[in-house]
Amino acid sequence: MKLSRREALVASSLSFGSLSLRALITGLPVPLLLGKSDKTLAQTNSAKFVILSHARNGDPIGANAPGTYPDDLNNDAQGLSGIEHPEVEGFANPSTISLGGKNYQAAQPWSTLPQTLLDSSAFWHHSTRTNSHADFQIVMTLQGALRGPGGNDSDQFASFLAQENAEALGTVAKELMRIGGSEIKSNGINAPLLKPLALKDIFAKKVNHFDEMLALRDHFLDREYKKIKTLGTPAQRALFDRYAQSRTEAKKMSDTLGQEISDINGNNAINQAKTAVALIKLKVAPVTTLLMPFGADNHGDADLTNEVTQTRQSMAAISTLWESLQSQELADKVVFASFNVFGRTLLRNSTGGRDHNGDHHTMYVFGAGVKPGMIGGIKRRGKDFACMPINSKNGGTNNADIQPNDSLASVGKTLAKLAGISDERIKARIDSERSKVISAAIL
Amino acid sequence: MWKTLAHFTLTSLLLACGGTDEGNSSLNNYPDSSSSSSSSSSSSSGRSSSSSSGAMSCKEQEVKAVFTQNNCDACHGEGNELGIVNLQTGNVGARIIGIPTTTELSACKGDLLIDHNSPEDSLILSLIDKGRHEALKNNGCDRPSMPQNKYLTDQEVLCVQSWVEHVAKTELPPEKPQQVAFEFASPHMALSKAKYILHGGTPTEEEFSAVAEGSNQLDPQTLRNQIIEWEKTPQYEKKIRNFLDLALQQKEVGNANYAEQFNNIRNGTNRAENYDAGKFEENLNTMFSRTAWRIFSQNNDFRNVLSTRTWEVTTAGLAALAWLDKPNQPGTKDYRLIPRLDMRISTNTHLIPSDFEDWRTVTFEPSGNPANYQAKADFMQSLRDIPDGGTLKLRYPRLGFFSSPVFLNYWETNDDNMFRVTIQQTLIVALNKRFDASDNTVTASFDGIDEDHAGTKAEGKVCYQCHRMMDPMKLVFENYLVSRYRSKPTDTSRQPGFAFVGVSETFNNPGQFAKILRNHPEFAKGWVQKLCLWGNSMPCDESDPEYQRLVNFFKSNKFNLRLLLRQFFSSPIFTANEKVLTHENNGYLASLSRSNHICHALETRLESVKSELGTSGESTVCRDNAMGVIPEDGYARGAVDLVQATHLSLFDAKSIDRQCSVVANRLMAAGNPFDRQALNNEQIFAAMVRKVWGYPNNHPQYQERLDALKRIYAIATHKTACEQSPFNQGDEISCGMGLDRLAGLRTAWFTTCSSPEVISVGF
Repeated sequence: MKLSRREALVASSLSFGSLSLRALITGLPVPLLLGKSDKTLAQTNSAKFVILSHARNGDPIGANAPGTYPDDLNNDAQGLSGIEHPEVEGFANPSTISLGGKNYQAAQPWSTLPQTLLDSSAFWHHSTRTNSHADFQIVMTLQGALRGPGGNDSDQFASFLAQENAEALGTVAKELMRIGGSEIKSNGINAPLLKPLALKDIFAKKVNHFDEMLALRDHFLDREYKKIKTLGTPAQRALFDRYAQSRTEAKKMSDTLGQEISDINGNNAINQAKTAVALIKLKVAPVTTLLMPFGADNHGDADLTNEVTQTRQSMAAISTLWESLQSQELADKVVFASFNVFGRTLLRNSTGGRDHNGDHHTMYVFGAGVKPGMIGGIKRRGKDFACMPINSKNGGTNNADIQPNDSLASVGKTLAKLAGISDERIKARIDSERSKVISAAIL
Repeated sequence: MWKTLAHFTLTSLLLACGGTDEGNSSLNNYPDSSSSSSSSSSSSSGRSSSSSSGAMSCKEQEVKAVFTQNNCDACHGEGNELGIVNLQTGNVGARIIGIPTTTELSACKGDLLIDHNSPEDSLILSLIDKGRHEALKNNGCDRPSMPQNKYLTDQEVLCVQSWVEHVAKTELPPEKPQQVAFEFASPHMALSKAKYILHGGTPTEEEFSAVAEGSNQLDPQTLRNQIIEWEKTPQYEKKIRNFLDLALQQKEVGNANYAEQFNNIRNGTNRAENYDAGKFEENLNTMFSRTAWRIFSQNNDFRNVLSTRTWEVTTAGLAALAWLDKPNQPGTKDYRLIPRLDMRISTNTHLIPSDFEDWRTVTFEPSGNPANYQAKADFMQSLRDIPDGGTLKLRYPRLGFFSSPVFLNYWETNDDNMFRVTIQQTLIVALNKRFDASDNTVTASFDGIDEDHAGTKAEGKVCYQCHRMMDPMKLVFENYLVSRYRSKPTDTSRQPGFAFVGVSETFNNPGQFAKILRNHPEFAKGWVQKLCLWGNSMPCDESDPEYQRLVNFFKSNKFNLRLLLRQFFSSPIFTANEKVLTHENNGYLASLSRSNHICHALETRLESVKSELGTSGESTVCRDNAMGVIPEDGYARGAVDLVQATHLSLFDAKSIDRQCSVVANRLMAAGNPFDRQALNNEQIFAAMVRKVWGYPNNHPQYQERLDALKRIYAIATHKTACEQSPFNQGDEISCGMGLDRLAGLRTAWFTTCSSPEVISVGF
């Protein structure tokens, strides 16, 4: 009998015998637990760390980005001159920025980013197909297109990237690490929020004789709870095994993480950026999520003051992130993307702020393999603006082969490709026939 | 239990397909009082659920064509909204085999879209075939057919059925992670777990003797007897109040500056001398929390949390509620701005310190006029003069948890959202359910539906299916409040309607809305489920007879929550001393505990140490009520279940290590719980084992644990250096690390504090 698709997928993923115990202990599904297979998951040298900025608030990151200012006021078929930017210096009148040698118009704060970063930056205009905050986690599943590791069930994007890349990157933790940003799930379980200051605290200077205490305690647990393995209930054994594993991972994690984040002085975006770099440097987790806000849920932001302030602050945070990555020689190993539940209207509401817009979100992407520039575009539609269809080969909007409805899954596939995930696994995990990798977005 | 994302993201499968039959403008797409659910010229006679497809054999492409012809792609096409399952592209069969529907409707919960074991019972067939659909409804699963108010033709049904049968033979359902097998928990484990959750302390010798000694069988009544004793303690009150705050979503997390309602209560500009921002915030945060505790502790009908107008308040709290009754300030673009600083409560120079502390019970009476708040001496005195048991007239009906300032502050709304978040959260709290597009409850009112947002009924968009229920219901807020949650003149132009999980009726005011919630069949079920999450860190199976017994108990005991807690925490569904259906289907979880439990438990246990040993000093272990990065039980927007971290991560391990180690010195110091100057090692170790670890001295493992702790101390402090690892020794220790007594005691504490018994629930 011909193998079903699922059977073929499972067969391609498993490389050795029963993995049920490891699955139980790690919480990772069996198909992901391979120690040796390099055929389907990310190759060691192509796998990238990923940093995702998540906002279930729906951030106006795209409100003042490239693509929202007309290049030529006399030829503005898209109606971009109607977009309402903050009426302040640097926003009302754009600056010119160069992305990989091509000029774009954007709000002035974007021009403050290091040129090396801009030459690795891109702005992808797409839709998320929802206006509801409550759909944040559904958007993280690429509107249901993202399948679980076995090709069935469902999964969330950061969790998917972590599963696929953990082995190749050799990280201490196999799950994503959430140091900021909105709540998401990792392998179906709520990912705890590990704020930078809290992390700094737990890695702070140890008390006297801590190492001895630790060794004695661990010896105690191993000796006195040995009976659990034979006489304990399965629930006890599962918890104890998980505790043992977490202690082992904790030991593996170098205490230099404490040193790396010793200058953390808060939980804001800059501190999150520093923490993310430290986590990557020490290979703690394959994916880190945080939040770089650009105005948040600014319905009532009467003068768009929050939008202006946060945009400037996040530019500083992004610059910090980039410079830290560069100084640690990690810039070619990391991909960053802003991935929110929806974008915001480019026309202001009656109280001066911006409302939800599921028809347009701007994903700001930079890092390894990212082709600088702009993908897709924006056009006036109905009461506001919407993203335009995308030509996957040249990134433009003419002769498009990706429709707006398919753009979310397409940017998902493209990010996965940038993260070093193989075409086979992308196809297995992102169940969407009409979407495609935007080859124009990849170097 | 494996809670796959399928449970969360494959929502509302099989919604309104079709409904845009061209040329048929009179087609009713959504259930309302005038529609018939069995209409359709294309419907056929019912088909037996056991019949097979016979000679019909359709490939997936043909089935997709059937779906397309019936306009199912409008909702189920690739790239559609809300993650509704794609029936249009790719391998549809592989996608949906073995996947359960995630409808909120209990009677349908868990039905498989394609049932690999019993294909003829697949949900997809039950929704497209008239006979099966009627049988489904007769079993209590009242959800729309597909297409809505239509059925596929006989031939189409046979085609889909043949495909379903083929898929069941050739595709595998999702691989479920190996579920932890169930084994009975001992009476000691049950006793420890119950006390951990309800009190925080460890079992005493007497409790152990009564409940657990000498038997593997737990007598629930003896455990209930212990619970009754715990009820008399302040620790129990603290735990229950924590639960009530969580379940009623009255916990304010982070900076509660109440910006929307009061324009920032921490504003320092022109602050009056006696204005105490911290206490004012506490007054607002806790007024309903205290009210809920009163209802609980006085054994009142717990449904009163939905409807009570009798709250616990201070004078400052009364002033706040009166202030919120103020007419909207005209003339400003953003009416958050109050034109005059002297109109803010923080600048009220007639507040006095006792205004923030004079808690009493006051009943709010409805009034057609707003309370006449004034920053004047006589007005403030009039509030002070309201006695315990007195009344205050308010225009905005303050009744029930959903009108408390802290609830509204947490769930901020705006002119776009217009109270949708508020009504959703209200239902989640009251009934433990959220809006679900598969809910077929007849629409009660069509007023208030935002057709710009959701489309029209005729357009049949999937958004409309939730909005037809949500928008008329949110008028309970919108008719009375502006989006800053301040009172406005009541709008009577639109008729509110309640349509949710089988209950459909109009209502005229919040009082009638609350009454509907009180009488809703989901109330009792929802609150038992909340206990399942709080106590077990996972939901119960609603088809479990034990779960249903608890629900019926709650109802038949006048919704007395205290009595329900006694039943629940002595029930096998919690104690796992017997296997019930929940264990079979969902497993049993020994979970990482959360900060709210761990911190309280350690503090309670150290207080117990002090009491027994006659010592003193600080008993807190956590910092700012947090055990490092280990979170508290929490809640999230739109989430029915509590947000709980259940699996240990390396950072949790680090947090435990850090926090347990940094307090060790203090605890051993003079004047502190384990005062090493006043106590000898035997006393200290015994107290650790009995009072922190949880092994009373009549427990069969008590001596073993005590000896093990002494052994660790001996290795730590033995002066003779070991030639090899000190850990290779047996019970007799002949060498060690040469640490001093303090270091040895710290190690013993560290070991106890970080033990699985302390850091977990259900170990």
